[in-house]
Amino acid sequence: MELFAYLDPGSASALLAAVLAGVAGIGAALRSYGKNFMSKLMFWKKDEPAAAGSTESGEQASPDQADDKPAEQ
Amino acid sequence: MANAEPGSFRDRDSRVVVSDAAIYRALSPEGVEDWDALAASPLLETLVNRGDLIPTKEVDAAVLEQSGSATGTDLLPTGVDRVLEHQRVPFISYPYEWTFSMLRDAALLQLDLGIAAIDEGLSLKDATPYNVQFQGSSPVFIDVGSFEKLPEGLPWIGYRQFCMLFLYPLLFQAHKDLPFHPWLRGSIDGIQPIDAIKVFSLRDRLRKGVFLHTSLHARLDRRANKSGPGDAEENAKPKQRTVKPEAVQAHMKSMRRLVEKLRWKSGETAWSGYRQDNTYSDDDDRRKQAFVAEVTATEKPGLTWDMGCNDGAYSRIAATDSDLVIAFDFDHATVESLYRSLKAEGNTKILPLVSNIADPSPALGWRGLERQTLADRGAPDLMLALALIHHVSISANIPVADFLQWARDLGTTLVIEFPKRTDPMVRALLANKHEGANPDYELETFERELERRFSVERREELPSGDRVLYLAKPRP
Repeated sequence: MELFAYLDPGSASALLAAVLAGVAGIGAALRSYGKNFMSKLMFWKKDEPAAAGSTESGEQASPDQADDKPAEQ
Repeated sequence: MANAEPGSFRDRDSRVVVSDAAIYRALSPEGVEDWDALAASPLLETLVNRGDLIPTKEVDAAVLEQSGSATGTDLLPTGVDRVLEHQRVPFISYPYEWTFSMLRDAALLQLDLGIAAIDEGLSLKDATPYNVQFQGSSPVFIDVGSFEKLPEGLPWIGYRQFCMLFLYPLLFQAHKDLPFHPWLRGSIDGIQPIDAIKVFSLRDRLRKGVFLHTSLHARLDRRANKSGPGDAEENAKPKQRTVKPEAVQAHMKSMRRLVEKLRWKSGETAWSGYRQDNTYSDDDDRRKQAFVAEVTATEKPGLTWDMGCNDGAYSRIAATDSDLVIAFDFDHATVESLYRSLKAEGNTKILPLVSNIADPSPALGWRGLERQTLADRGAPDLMLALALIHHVSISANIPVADFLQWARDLGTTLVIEFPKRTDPMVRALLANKHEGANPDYELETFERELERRFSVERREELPSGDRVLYLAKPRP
């Protein structure tokens, strides 16, 4: 690790920043892995067709969902 | 005539030059490489369009010489290779004048830019709130020279600076209800980790972020300070360990989550309900509002200062016909509330700042030139001093003549309200003083001192009979 900054990051702070980056990096990787794992585990969710206009829970469909609706002829 | 901005000297690859006509940034050959990398990425346009980054364009480098500025190695050690021009920020403010939410919004902007930069192979070389300014209630990043090509394998270089100038002040206010302004005004580099930790109790150290960024940081700092110069050199030597950009970005995102969740419960102060609880009649208030509206409509001031703005009611009226209103009040909770409402409205014509008129921001930093006094940053065309002079004169014991001379020296048109000694608030302020205290606080003395320095163009006694309003123009 070589430091060439106009700003002295401080030896202790740079060390801490490197450790915190490592920990945060692992956390981010685990979160991403967890999301992928869950989406694979719940594979049927992806294939559910968006209900036209509203979802089962009565919420308004998002614009993305609305886009999935076939255009009216 | 253009001059190098005295507060822009720390980065040897980028220096700001200020002229009456424009704000320039001189770049060294190394600085040009970083600018080219930013300009070639979609980030520049995205950030400028979003209002997150100050609009910037390249100009002919000859403008510096033509405007009488220093050039070449007189400006930057490795010479000037290119010149940029920035859009001017109407009024420069400093973090020790901001409210909690303003500092928090500036911190979030700093982090958002740092996170976005990594996606484009760039990074920010520092993390200081002095690189952020407010246009009304909107923060904007002004230091284009902070962007650099992403250095490989390094951790977040601005981490320490972010902690000292953003995180610790925010933690102080959020967790201890401790105003951060005196700390930031007292040290231009912010709060050292070993000082920050002394503020937190053992229980506080269990709060999110306090242990990692304060306790652990201070402990490592102490250990580094105990080791000798040989150890420092050893620490600086290249090592095998490198940090991936994704990990640096994850570190910034984790800091963002921490900062975003910080809240300051400002609570009630003597001034936060002032407008509802004050002793003024509604008739007086209506007349004052009409007076301010009529004056600003006629004067059309560029810059208006509203001193002692409280909830900003008169600032809002003045903003209709002013280019910009700076709304000052010394009560942090009141200004915080004003900032939050202006932000919700998307108001860009009123800049709320925490400032005590009896103890305004001084010049700070190297040679006392890095940070300017309030007046040096732009004297107002119009000053509103409504329900203020009794607090200045009686509470702060500033002589009436001194206050008027200060306003005269600014060369500003003045709208001033004088509450007589019969006014309930004046009587309350004098209640704890001995008989005959503040003898200069008399209507007759006030009018005489005002006339000596200003030409009074309009005088209006308010319906209560306890207060008088004046419109006064400075005498040549």
